[in-house]
Amino acid sequence: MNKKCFFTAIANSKELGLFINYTLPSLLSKNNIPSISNKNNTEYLIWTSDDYVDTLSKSNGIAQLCNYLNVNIKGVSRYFFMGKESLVTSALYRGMLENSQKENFGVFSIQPDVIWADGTILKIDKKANEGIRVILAGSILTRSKHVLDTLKTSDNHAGEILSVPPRKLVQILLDDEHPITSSQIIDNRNFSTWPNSIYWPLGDQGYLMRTTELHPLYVHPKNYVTNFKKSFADDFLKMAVPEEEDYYIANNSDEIFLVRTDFGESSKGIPDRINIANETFFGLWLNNYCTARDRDNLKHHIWLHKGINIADWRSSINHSNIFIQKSISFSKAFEKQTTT
Amino acid sequence: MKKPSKYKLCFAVTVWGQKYIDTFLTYSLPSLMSGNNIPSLVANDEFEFLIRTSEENVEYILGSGAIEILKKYIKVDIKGFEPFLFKGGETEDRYWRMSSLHREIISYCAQINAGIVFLPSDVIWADGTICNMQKIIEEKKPRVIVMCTLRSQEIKIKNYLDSNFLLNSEINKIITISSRELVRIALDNPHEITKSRFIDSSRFTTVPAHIYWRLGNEGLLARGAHLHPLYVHPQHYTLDFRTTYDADFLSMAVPNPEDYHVCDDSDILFFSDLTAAGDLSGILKKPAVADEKRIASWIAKHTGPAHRTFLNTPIWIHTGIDKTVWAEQLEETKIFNNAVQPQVELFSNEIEKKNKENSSGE
Repeated sequence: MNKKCFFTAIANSKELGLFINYTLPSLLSKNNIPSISNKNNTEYLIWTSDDYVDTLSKSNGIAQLCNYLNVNIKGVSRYFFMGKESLVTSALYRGMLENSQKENFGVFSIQPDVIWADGTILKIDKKANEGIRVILAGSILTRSKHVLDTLKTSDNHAGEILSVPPRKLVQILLDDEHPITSSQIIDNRNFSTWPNSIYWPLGDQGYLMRTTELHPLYVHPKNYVTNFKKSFADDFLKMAVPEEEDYYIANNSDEIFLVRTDFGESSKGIPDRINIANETFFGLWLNNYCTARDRDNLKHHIWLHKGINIADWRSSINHSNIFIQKSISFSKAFEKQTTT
Repeated sequence: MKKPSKYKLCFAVTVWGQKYIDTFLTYSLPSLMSGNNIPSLVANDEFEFLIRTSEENVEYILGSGAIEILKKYIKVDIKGFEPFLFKGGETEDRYWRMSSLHREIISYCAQINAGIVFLPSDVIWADGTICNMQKIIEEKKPRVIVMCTLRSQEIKIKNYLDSNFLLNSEINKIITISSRELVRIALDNPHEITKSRFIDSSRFTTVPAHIYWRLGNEGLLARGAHLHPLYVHPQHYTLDFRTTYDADFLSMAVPNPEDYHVCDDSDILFFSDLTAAGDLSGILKKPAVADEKRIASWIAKHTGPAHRTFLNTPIWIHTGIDKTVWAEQLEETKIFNNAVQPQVELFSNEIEKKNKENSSGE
């Protein structure tokens, strides 16, 4: 069994707060980090600005995490954290990967603004132990800060735990739908102008998601790659693990599920006038803003639900297939037009 | 007789990667060591030479003979940062690295209220530039001094310097080159980017940071909105800029255009950039002519109000000319400026309006 590490890059104070208050407590739920195998061969690396090391080191969550894993917090000069966040995040990943690839580590990529459903880390760990090299999943936004806060439990002030089973997490999303998610529902009359994901409702039971963005949750590089140009999720991944057979796409929230803690701050793509979803617009959007790989991600059906029999929802699969296939055809036609 | 200095000044270089370090140590620094550049400074604790780089390059830089010579004249402070920060990425990452290192320098200078002399690492300095900069600081007391530079072909200039200066240099491989000689070799070996900035270019640049009018074979007249800030004594030592020291940092650090001095003659301040032949930034494959509207739009989008005032100063870059002979060209540049400035204002107002709409929409 190969060595593994968890890695989190924290680029700013907002991410620091979300990591300490939500990501870390959710990782500490019973069926996440506390239940993974081979803890002696696994460590947690957190790379961030010098400015945040003290706050992190003194947090109860980190103290609790140390009960399960060796935790290594590395501070980097604060001056590199004052420009565009994505650039410093990619640089931190480059630094981490340079070392971890030498050690043949499998890397759990833990973004600092994510809540992990209880059991997700355990499932990823099992898949990794089966030899899967890359695990990809979609993500959805939540704005339910208050509800999530009430679910936190504390054990003698030793640190908070946020243990939310996947179906309950879906229920929270449905009860207080994020405006961006609402705008991306296929039959919304105010359909998104930035449809990076599109949702087909499953009654009041959840969503069928088709998305251009799949995040690498776990990567065990096959090829040693340094000096990638863009990001961990983009060119690094393609070079480090080139064969599709090494990839596993998480397509059911019962198995692997995470939400992004945006808490309603973002309104990207929410239109201020009526906008009906149609294949021509989506095709053009794909052509303008997406890579071939992003378009390829749309072929997966991702079920986010409270407990359904997928066989009962064949019609949603068909509807979404027709929409996605037509859109991709338009996109290819636009691409051809542009090239000629 | 050298006058003692009464102000604090930090000379700042950010450099990483073997090729750039070698260019800095072999060509750029030796040209800074000519008699009327760094050695013209009074040995004084008030002056410092700051080099910011990758940790893995510190020892190499410290071991260089050029640094040993530099230390005779000025206190040298070299600081390295973790090597992984300097690897991979694209053009945007290079600017991010440079600005991150500049932030450290700005923060350092803020503590001692020092002026900052921004020294690009891959340029050749004309003898007298540093001495003249000091004179301007002492006499005119500006907060910012900006200057126009020329991009020339890296390999050709290096070959020229190797055979005409370094191989023959008896003392410490110092490059002493007058501004007129440097302009001459820059004009004789212009980079494609320089060629694309002439107003009559048939492949006119999409990045009109400078625009040139020919003065026969003896030089050029330049108007530029994006000039090099050689000296900046910040009113606000802000670290909160998004792009670079010569763009939004400058506008934020010294907002008042009256605090700026635009050097109008290469006889006073000059350096030539050594640009790789493969760098074709801003050059289209198909023909394009200079268009006032497009120039104005670029300026509005990429510069601040202070930058735009630079356009009002015609800058003479030359090998030694009688300026009165070139009155017609000067007039042409005035007509250009009078036509472009109002359009820049219109585009700026539009951009400002859009930004306000976007921020109120959020």
